[in-house]
Amino acid sequence: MSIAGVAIVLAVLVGSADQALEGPVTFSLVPVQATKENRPAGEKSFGEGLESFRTSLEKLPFDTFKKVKSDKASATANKEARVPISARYTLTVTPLAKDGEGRVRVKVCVEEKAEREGKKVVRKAVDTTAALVPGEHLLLGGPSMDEGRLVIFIAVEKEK
Amino acid sequence: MNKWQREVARRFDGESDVQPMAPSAEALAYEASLRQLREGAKLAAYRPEIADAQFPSFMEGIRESIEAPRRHHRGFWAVLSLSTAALLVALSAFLVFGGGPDKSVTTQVEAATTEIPGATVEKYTNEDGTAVVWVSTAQRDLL
Repeated sequence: MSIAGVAIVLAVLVGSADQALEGPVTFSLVPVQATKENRPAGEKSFGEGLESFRTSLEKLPFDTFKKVKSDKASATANKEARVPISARYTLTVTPLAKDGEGRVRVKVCVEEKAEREGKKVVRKAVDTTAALVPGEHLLLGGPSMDEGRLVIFIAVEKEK
Repeated sequence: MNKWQREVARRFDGESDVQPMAPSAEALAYEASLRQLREGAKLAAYRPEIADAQFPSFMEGIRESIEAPRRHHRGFWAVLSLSTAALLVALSAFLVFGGGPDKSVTTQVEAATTEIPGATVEKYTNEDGTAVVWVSTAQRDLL
């Protein structure tokens, strides 16, 4: 095996392995409440500030969407950022690394305050790890929120 | 070889002193061919010799030939390997640091779970390419 062989192995390893993140990662977060209001067939209502999410929201089996808030959070590698969404839910995001294809690997949790057998507990309504392309949204949804469901759009902001 | 040719040959070799009164054209031509043959034989018999004065130079030439390093192609392969390695490293660096994410690279959900009792988690990519993690629960959670 010559130097070229070693270089090929090195190139493959460098190309596929995770890399350390340099500096903080900024996330944009948009929680949405999705409900069924029994609107006429095919009619859907999108609240203010949801225009850019309309294509994704239209596919969901709800007819009314209301933005809860719009927020940003920053965190360095392996440090958790916490963003309260409501009295019941808190979103946590933890950047892990950058993968070989420029995506940011991130751990995202939706913590929910609940009661179990009369005791207050915090449980993970959603616990996920994903590799996010900067600028593209990840949609987390499903936990109940009042009469509807909670839907959260999360994106890693592109480096400037 | 006929009689007159033998006579010409004997005279050419100095074995006969008899000189013809008027040598024929054929005899002259034959004598010329014998002379040419003799000159050729002299040249063929030449053996080059190394004089004593030339011997040191002769040995020096042999020594240089023995001691000169043998030419081989290892240098060529080393250069080729180094060039290939440099090219691969440059290519990898370009892909990693150069152009950012490729258009074909998409957001990917690696794992998704929930601690909500009785709930299930789906992960999929919808029609517009958005990665989705969806938790399906009963409207009233089992606590």
